[in-house]
Amino acid sequence: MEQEKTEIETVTRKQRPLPDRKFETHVTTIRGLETSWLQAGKTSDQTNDPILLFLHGFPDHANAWELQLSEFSKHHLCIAPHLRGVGSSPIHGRLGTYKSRASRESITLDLLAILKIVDPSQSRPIVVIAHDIGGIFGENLARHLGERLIGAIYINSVTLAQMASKLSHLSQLKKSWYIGLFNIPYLSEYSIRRQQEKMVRHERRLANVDDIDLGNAKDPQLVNGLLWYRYGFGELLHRRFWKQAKEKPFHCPVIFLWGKDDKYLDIPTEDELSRLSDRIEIRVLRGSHWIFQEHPDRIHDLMYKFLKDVSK
Amino acid sequence: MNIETAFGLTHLRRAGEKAIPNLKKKLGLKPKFVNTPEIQDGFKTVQRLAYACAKTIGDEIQEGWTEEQAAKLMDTYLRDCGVKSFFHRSVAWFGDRSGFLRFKHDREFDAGPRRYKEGDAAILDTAPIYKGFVGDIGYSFIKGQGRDNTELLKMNKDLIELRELIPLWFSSSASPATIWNQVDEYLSAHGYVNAHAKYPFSVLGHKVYKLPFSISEQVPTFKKLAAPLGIYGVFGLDTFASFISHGFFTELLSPGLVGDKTGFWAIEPHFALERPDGTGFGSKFEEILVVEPSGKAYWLDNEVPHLKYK
Repeated sequence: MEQEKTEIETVTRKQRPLPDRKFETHVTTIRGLETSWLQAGKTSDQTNDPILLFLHGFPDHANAWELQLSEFSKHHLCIAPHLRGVGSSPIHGRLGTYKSRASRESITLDLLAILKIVDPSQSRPIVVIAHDIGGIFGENLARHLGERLIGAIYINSVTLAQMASKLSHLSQLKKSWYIGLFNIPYLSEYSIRRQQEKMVRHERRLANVDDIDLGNAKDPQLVNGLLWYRYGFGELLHRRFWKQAKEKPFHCPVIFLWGKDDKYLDIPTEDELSRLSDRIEIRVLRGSHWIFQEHPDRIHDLMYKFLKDVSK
Repeated sequence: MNIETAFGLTHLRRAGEKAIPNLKKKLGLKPKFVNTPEIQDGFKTVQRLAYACAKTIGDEIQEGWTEEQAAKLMDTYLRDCGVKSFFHRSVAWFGDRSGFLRFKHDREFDAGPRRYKEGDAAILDTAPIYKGFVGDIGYSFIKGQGRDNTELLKMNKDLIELRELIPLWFSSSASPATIWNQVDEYLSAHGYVNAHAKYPFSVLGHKVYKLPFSISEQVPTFKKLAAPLGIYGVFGLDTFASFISHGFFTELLSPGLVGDKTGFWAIEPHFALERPDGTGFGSKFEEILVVEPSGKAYWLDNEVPHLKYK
């Protein structure tokens, strides 16, 4: 296993670039529900030019990646779906709420359907970039993309197996108290709905990213993100998950870009990383949970370097 | 272990194939057959939904996917589309498993850890129950370098030729047992192994109905208890209830069945090719055949994916 030594880099805080918002919003119906994603960048004639698939976390939606879409669309086709339940990918249909659509399998089907629309030939390589809980969907998608997935970038994000392993440590358990709350139906939805805007703005202020308004604070669908935690937690109770977790989900290089001052997740350990891929790298920087918004330039540099390496 | 032989079910089947139709005749029980445009639309909808699912998942399958992965995604797809219950849960067979070659145990029929390799023949089989209508389909395909596999192309063409013959045989005075044997002779004459003879009770098909209500949405009920039952464990409680309530053996197109052919049948001829070196594969189609009381028989839907091999 190739693993670079972790180093803590000091990142000088510069004035953040503003997103240019030159992306298109695509909407289609996938298995009966409206599904939407942001798309930027030209479709390349080069069939080996990777598609960059951005998976947001909670309490975000696809617009969390606006800075990255602005930057990377200059060279690549970028897609940032609104994961099922939030933004413009509702979980409510004609007959009510389709809660099971928040499961990892169902979201994987959504992502595969979006990729098929964007790349009908299903031949272009893909690089997944995940943040926060987006990593658990990236992990499941990796198991289904096979050789098409040529790289994964996890920014303050973990796989489900990693999270399960982390929760056995007291320091992570103390940081993850809110997951227990998220698993209490009705009460958690009620609490978050009442405090949603305040909660989101508070968390973003703590992370020094409150100067960019991404619209998620007022998203009435945002609370549906709680279902991802419930279904994820539910999977941990099945023997099938643990059997599958013995296999490494990634057969490609993976890089973790980690804001050291993350108040929700501990820095991944070597043991955790060794179970994910044979080619793993981790770069720890000074920054918060939303480091890709806080210090985009440095993150972009590291991402470009990684993309160059995996595209060879 | 083959449950049918281990528990002497073959004798029970043979006895039931003859006794139950005779009993029904004596009691004046005729098959309940309602064939309205709404009923046909209901069956068509569930069949098309099942084929759309199989085709979507089949298109996504990559080298390295396991059969279990493919089957689970099919179940997820169908549940996302509003399917609440299954006649049997989805199964997938890759490579030589698509022909049931060297299957010795009933548990081998369930989707397993076999991984898809480029050029492997594959079968996806799913049976959703949608708004009470039972669908059951089988979708065969090959991906990658094996796409031009001439043996599979020939097998699929032979299957399509058989598809033209089946309604004619059902429309004739031949008994279900005779039709079963006619299919067996057809595939033997073309050099294939009869793979559907390895299904429980050697069924070439089974009747499907619109179920008035669902007993249980869990398929199978008590999954862990059902696991040792192998292929019998993939069926739902609704399935057993449907079969038993109609006489069980009269619902299965098995080698010895006599009696009325009227009804909606899910017909699933399954061919296998075994090469001298022990390798091989299989292919099938499965769709609904309508057999009216007058004897007229026709396929419910002529917009099915396997017709591309015509």
